[in-house]
Amino acid sequence: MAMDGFINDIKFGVRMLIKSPVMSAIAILAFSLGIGLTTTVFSIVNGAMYKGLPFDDADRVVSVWRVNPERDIERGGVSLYDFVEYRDQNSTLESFGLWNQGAVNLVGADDKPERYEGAMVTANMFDILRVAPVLGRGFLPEEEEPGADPVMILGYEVWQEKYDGSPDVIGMTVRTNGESRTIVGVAPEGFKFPIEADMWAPMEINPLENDRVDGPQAPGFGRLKPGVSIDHAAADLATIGMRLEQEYPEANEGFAPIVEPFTKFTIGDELFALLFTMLGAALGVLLIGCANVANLLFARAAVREKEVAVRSAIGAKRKQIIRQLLVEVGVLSAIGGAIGVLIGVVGVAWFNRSIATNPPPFWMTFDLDARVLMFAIAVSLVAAVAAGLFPALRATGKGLNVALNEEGRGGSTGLRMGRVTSIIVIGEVAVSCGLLIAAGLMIKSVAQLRTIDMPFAIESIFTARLNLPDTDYPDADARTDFYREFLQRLQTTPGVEAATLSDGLPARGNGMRTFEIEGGEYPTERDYPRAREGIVTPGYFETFQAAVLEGRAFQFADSKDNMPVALVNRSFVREYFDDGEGIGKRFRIHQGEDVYEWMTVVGVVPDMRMEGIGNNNESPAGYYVAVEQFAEILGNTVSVGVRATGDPGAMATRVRETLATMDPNLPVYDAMTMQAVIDDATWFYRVFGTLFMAFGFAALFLAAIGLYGVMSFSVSQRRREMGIRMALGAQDGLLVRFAMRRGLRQLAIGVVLGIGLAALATRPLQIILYEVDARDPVIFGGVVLALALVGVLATYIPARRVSQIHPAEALQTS
Amino acid sequence: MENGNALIRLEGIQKIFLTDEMETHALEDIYLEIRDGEFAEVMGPSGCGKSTLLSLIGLLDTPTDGNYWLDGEPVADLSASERAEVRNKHIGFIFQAFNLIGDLTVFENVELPLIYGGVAAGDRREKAHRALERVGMSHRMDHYPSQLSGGQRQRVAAARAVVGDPLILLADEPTGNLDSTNGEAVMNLLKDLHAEGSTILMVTHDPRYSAYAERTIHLFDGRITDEETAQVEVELAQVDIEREQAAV
Repeated sequence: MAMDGFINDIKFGVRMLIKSPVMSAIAILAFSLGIGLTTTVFSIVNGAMYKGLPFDDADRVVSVWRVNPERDIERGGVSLYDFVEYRDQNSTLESFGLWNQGAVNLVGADDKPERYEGAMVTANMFDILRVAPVLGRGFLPEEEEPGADPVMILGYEVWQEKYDGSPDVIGMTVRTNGESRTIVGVAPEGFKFPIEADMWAPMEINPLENDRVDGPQAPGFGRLKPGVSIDHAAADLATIGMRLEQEYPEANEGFAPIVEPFTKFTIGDELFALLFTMLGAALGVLLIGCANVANLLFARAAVREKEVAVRSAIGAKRKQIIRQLLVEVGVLSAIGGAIGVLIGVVGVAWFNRSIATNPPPFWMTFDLDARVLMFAIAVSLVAAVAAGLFPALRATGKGLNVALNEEGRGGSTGLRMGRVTSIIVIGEVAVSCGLLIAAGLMIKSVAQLRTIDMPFAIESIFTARLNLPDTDYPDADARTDFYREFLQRLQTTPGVEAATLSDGLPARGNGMRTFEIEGGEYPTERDYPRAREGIVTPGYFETFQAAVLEGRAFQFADSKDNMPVALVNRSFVREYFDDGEGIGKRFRIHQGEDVYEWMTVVGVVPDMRMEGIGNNNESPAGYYVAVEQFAEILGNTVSVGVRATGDPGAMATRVRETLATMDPNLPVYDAMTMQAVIDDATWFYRVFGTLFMAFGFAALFLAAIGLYGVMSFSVSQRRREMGIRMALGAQDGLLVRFAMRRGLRQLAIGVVLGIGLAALATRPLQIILYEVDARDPVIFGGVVLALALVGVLATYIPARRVSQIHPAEALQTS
Repeated sequence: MENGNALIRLEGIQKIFLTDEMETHALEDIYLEIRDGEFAEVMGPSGCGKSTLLSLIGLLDTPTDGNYWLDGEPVADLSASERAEVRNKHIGFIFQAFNLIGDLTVFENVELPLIYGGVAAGDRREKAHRALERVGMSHRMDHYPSQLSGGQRQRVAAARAVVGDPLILLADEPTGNLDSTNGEAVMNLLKDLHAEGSTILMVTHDPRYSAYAERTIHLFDGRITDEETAQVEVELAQVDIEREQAAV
């Protein structure tokens, strides 16, 4: 019976929708935008935080880290010694393992080297995760023992792409990072544990061959025993940790293990805050949409008072009428929700496209899954209730005999509803103001990114990376020889105008190191300054067409047999040399116990974004040293920079060919133009900035419609009063001011509240703002002005219109 | 027609409206009985409390003081929800302004009380058809109120009032918005409904239709005055009207 009534309510709701197409269209638009943006953002939050690992009983898979607050170690690895102790002594983990992800140069049967992400894992990885290889087998326990035959498991995607999915791959021998390994299995499709690995090899568990203090460490992971909570496991491991700290203080003092859901380490506190600020912003848009619909319903409730009274008179209970009114809004929100889901589909597709160059961990997939759809349905329902309940309560709260007998005594309804609509308008303006300020900050941030000063060549530059495996290049001399030779061959490669090798690229963010200036006083280790460090070959500044401001650039003569030299950037001079002169000054790397030779500054170069893009408040001060002189701190991986005479995008093949002439086993990877590097470095700002801009524009649009609608309604409810004032001789200007006064007061209160809201809510946005303060006064002021303008127009137009009508007409208005 | 037991009994009913800290005594010390099967009318000048009385009897409003029994059950202190249920099951309304819902068809308007009463769809259809046939409007059941004349709308309103077989029909100035021809037709309809057994309480200030009622209750300044005196006044007023019409 109740269902029967419900169906009737729906039928009537659809009829009302058709009867008032403009009102329905506005309501549906408001719901669509709000639900669409909320669904899009929730899809992102869902993918990043709620989906978790796509494995059986994945909630029981945990990460184990070691923390040391005194040493600022938030998530440190577990040493092999400790791993064995934790593994053997704990009573809460079903199984416990280690992982370490790193780059792998793979040379298969085709002799074509390719670069992949790989992971060294303990042999029990598949057991812990409850995943079985689709082909071959997993690792055997003995394969993590020292001296075991080297084996590996291929990722499904690599198996398909490189080996065409051939089952013959099992037993095949390949070279990874210069070492031969036998493929023993293929992982299932989509499996990229721990983050985005394409292949896996067993980690050698040989604690006794390593130093307890400085030996290798790796993040731990395990599966909780059934019924064991994370807290319980944490307490269990903490007990073992305390014992280890007492027994081996030199290695474990200050360290304690932590246990957390496996996926948590990829979402830092700031990103967590950002995601929920985004969700809050989207809900803010939805709230504005609901406020608009509520105001429309208040207006309609005034017109339908008698209908409601009649329904009540013939025996409808209040809850039945409220249900019917809510169902009417529900019809609107259901349509809005359906369109919102479509907006979500488009939004998520856009988001996936935007992050394609920076894929997230493998378990983070962004789509509209069942949870998101349930969320969209729930949001649609809540939106319908939020928008419809209060108007429905008001519409049904009037005395029946009054409503039934009232013959349109114009004006009374508007006054009764006035306070409620005022509160809604003020709230709407406040939320819009907050969202607009957030959007304004984003717009400024994105604009800053577009106009960012890059004092180096971008358009003609090709970049790539290469990694020299220890097996083939065991020491700094071998690597230096290789770099020298490769650079010379590169420089003579057709199409290359200039070339360089370095540890990093401009705007990508160089690493930091502590140092000391000659003559400086540093009482404690903490007093040594830190600056960005670039390890580059000769030709670096020439390649990037960055003018050396003073002195000279590096030369091939700057070898390890000659005096160590350095170049410093302008900010370094400003920060560390009081006289403003850099040339001839000396400083040296002072990293803990590692103290290097004094280096003499031989040149001053421009600031080339060594701090990277987006590290607000980070000093750009940095120095450069020569690869030949500091090869031991360079490591195995270098970036290649080539200034091309033609299209830089076409240089990949030539660079590969040149490299192959020296070492056919080395792959070139991350091959891209410098423009792509810059885009890559700024994607975070662009993507999240664009999202917030969408929120802001949606908010402004809805707020403008809402303000206009409410003011129109409010003024139309006072036509009779206006008529009386006209009849008494009030002039147009006076009437307009009178009609606008209330609206402007609401606008002012809303803006003041909105500024307060924005001051609180925009703080988490700082991490996605590029060189913009989250409390930028220009943006705050601009938004206030923009809202004031929209608000004044939204109140002026209806006020002006009503002041233009004939007094007699206004007096007859009922 | 033989009238039965007291269907409505009011004792010491008082209604005071409070507006801007001012008390308006709309009804004072009302004692009234309407018997089952009776056709009674309430007459009186504008503002005398006729509609207020009808609202109280129709449970659209609650008295400030006094007791009210409907079919032997006390109903003065019911909750809003209980009052709605009583209205739905036992009271039918016919308003001066028809008060049909413009967005519903004739059939849907008539069916509406049955939906609120939880009547099954099959029964609803049958009862609504029957009610429309009873008022001679079944041929217009798919029309909307705006497509009907005033008299037709009031017939539909009457069908909606009787569709749930209420104990009493309350008609508030049912001819007030109609021309004399349509007014006459609606009054004849009420007469027919009464003849079929309906108890009717009608508010009117039009003496032309007094003759349709068996009993006239005269209200003045919120109090019931002597019913017989009132009846004489009505008859005299009727004579005056007839004289005027004859003179014209």
